[in-house]
Amino acid sequence: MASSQLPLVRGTLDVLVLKALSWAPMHGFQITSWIEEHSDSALDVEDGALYHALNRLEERRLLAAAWGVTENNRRARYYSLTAAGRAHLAAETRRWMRYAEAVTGILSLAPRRA
Amino acid sequence: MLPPRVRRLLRLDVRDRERLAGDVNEEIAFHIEQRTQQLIARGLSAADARAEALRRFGAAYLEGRSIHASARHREDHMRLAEWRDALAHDIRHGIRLLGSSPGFTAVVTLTLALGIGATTAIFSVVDTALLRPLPYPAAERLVVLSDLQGELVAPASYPEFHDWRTHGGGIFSAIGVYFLTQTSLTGAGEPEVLRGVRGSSDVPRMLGLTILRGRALGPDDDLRSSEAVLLIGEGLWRRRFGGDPAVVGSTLTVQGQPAIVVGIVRADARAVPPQGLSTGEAPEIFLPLRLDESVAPRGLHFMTVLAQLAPGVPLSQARERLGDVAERLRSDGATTHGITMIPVTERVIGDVGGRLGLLFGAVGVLLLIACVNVANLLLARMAERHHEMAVRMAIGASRGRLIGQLLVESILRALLGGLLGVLIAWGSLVLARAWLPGRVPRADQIALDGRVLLFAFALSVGTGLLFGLLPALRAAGRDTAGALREGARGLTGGASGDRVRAALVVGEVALSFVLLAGAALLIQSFGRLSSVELGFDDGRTLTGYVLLPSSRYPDSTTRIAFFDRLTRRVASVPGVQGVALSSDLPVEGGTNGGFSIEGRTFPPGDPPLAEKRIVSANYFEMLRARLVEGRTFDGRDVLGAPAVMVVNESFARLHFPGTSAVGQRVAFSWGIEGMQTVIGVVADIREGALDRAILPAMYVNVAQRASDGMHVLVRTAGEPSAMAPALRAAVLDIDSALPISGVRTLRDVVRSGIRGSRLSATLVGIFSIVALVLAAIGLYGVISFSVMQRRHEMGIRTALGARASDVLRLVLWHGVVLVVIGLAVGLLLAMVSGRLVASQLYGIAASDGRTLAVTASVLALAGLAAAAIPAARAARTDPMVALRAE
Repeated sequence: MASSQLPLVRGTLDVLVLKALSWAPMHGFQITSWIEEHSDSALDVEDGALYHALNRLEERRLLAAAWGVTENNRRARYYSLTAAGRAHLAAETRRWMRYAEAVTGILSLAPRRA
Repeated sequence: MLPPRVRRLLRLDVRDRERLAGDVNEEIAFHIEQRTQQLIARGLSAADARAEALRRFGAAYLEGRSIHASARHREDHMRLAEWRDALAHDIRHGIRLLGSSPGFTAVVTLTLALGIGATTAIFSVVDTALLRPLPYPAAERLVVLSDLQGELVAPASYPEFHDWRTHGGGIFSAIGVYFLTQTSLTGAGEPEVLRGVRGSSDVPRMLGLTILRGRALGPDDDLRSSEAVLLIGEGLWRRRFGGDPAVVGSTLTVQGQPAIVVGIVRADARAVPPQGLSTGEAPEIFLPLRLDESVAPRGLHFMTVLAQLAPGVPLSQARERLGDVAERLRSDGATTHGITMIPVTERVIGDVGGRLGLLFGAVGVLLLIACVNVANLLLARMAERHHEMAVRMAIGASRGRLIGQLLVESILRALLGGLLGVLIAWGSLVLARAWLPGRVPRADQIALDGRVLLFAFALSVGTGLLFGLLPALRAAGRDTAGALREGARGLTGGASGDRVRAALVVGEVALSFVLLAGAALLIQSFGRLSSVELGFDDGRTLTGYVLLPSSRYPDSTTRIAFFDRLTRRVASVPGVQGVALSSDLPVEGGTNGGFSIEGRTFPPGDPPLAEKRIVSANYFEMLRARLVEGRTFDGRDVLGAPAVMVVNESFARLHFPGTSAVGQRVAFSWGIEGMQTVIGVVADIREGALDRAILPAMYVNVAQRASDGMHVLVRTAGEPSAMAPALRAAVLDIDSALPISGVRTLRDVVRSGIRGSRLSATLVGIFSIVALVLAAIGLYGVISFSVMQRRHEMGIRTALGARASDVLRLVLWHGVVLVVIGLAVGLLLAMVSGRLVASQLYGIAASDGRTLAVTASVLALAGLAAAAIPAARAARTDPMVALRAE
């Protein structure tokens, strides 16, 4: 199982978290589940790393956090995107796309024969 | 959308670390639980599921770089950011506020600017003159030794220096002696008089003088048998010799004698610790000592002994050991005198320290008054802003947050005032630099530098906190609901607010009283000092100093002949009414020394002391001094005739009480050997400083014993300073190689002695006037504010039949009560602070009843006037208008 999973490229976890939260406010476990679900479990997100990322993002005020209650009446810390977070997500998404395109373009070049 | 700050206010208590840790634990536990359930749902056993959940979380995140740490970091960071945001918000808000009420801002800014500006200016003077270390190497170990005769501290004599050096081993690592000297430089170019230092070779080293070219002086140079050498200052080198390096090794004619220049002293040459001359002056010339006991006997006290305490010997211990040395010298019978020692800083600072301390204290009081005034203004204004505060509190701002905001506002106001204050300080320093040199040590170095600006900044912030704290606490301390209700009714303040403002005004009146009383005392002291009985007429008299080189004027005969010619030459100039000579100018003080009286014995080495002056025969007549008994000098008293002297009344009273001094015979080892007969007694002339007691004085005739240096005094028909060119021309006419220096009027000489006193009186006077105005404004503010608040009450009173005069009396009474309490407190403060001023006063006691009474009346009148304006306004109030306004 582990062999089929890809380790995360540095810094992408933050964008993935922001993307998850762009759908709705979620608590930590919901965010992991969302990423797993939408990557078909291809990305290996270590759970602990997620909370570091959440702290980091909250610190930068890209996220806001508040205690809320789950459907099962459990207390959980819910994270939501701030305006700054939304803008950051948009910018990072554009950047990632251009980056991926460029890398893909280079890697898809057919080798020239001598 | 609410800003994150507000949302966080509704969330967890960010201050609570334990709670934060609990939250983090809860969040992690919840996550692991959820994951475990998910894995169980996928078919794992409960134990396996939990193990897998923990593995997936990552052990590292639970320990080392734990989530806790990152959460704590997050909280700290966010709290800081919030704080920064709040501050930025408050500053923006504060700046808007400053602009929104320009009138109020202008009053507050101006008040603070006066206080901060004056304090900053005085601080920069104090800092330069007193606080900074002196520029000497190991200045803290440098001390000055003096001769002690009972209570009287005198300069050292050369034999004393010798004794101290011999016995001071172990106490001092170096000891030297010097005295300031005026020396003529002749030869190529214009002859000039140079101010310089003659001293032993270790003095330049102790003062840290650096040699630019050539060599320093060595111990051999101090011997009379060595070749005469000297050092010249870089200033003189560049000015007179155009910076020619060949000057080193060349021979100059100094005081008529050849001497070889062996070195040039760098221009930053530290000023030599003062010895009667103005401070902060770098010597132009440095001559080796070349003295022995034959020319500088024990009775001649004129030298400053400078010593460096040996490492590890504290001042107290050095004093003790020096006391032993003095004891040994006395028991050996060498002297009856003692030794005193003070750090060189004390010597440099001198009595300026007390004067500047007084000014700093006075300006501090002024700043305090300014603070009280602004606090009062803010309190009144805070009442208007009560509604704003109540609303802010109602929507969730904490009390601390409000206080913070108000303090930020106050500090902004203070900084604005400080900015203007620095401009004021800068302006005053430009004036001060032109005015202070010679009165304050290192005055030329006074500047608005980084240190002073930092002081001004800190002072502004401190001031802002000081005047802002009380209004802020009061404004934020109200119960919000009440405030909202009050606000709704348009009523402001309240009884307790009135009391605080009243207390502030009382304080302001009290502080102003202290300043005014101090100013009144200093002004009277100055007045008394300037009206001290001089014992001579200082009007229309020009003075100048002529120093004869001993090469061309080697003996009394040639000197007497020169001064005789000079006197006749100057007297022939049209507009000159009289010419006299004296070895020292009145008021400036000069040489004193021991003497003996025929038929009496005094302990050896401890003769009585008197001022000694060599004067021309017409000195007394020209200065219009009163002859008490006998006669003054005349044509009979010439070289070869019996030696005679004139003494002053103090001398006669002290040494010949009940009998006539005339005919008595006195001897001193100075110039004329042997006994001299007293031929006359003159009324005391102020030969020494105006604020000191008059010393006994002896006068001898220049025709019997001419000194090489004499002051010429010229009485003129018109403006004396206009005669200066003619006086110079007359000297050059007789000897074209002879300079005349220090040409100024006798009145200037007298005035320069009381400049320090005038400085204190002027500055404290200005401070006190500002204080008076501030106090009056403060009182006016409080009374008019209370009148405004009581308009309704006044209206009712008038409606019920009170006359306008009743209302007037009511309001005035309020003012009178405040002023009277303020005066009572002020009187108490003045009594306490009086002792600090006492040392700066001359001829008046700090508790002078008349002065205090007059001060109180002035302040009471000003207070009454300040209360009268709102009182009159209140009396004019139309009851209908007042009642309808509610």
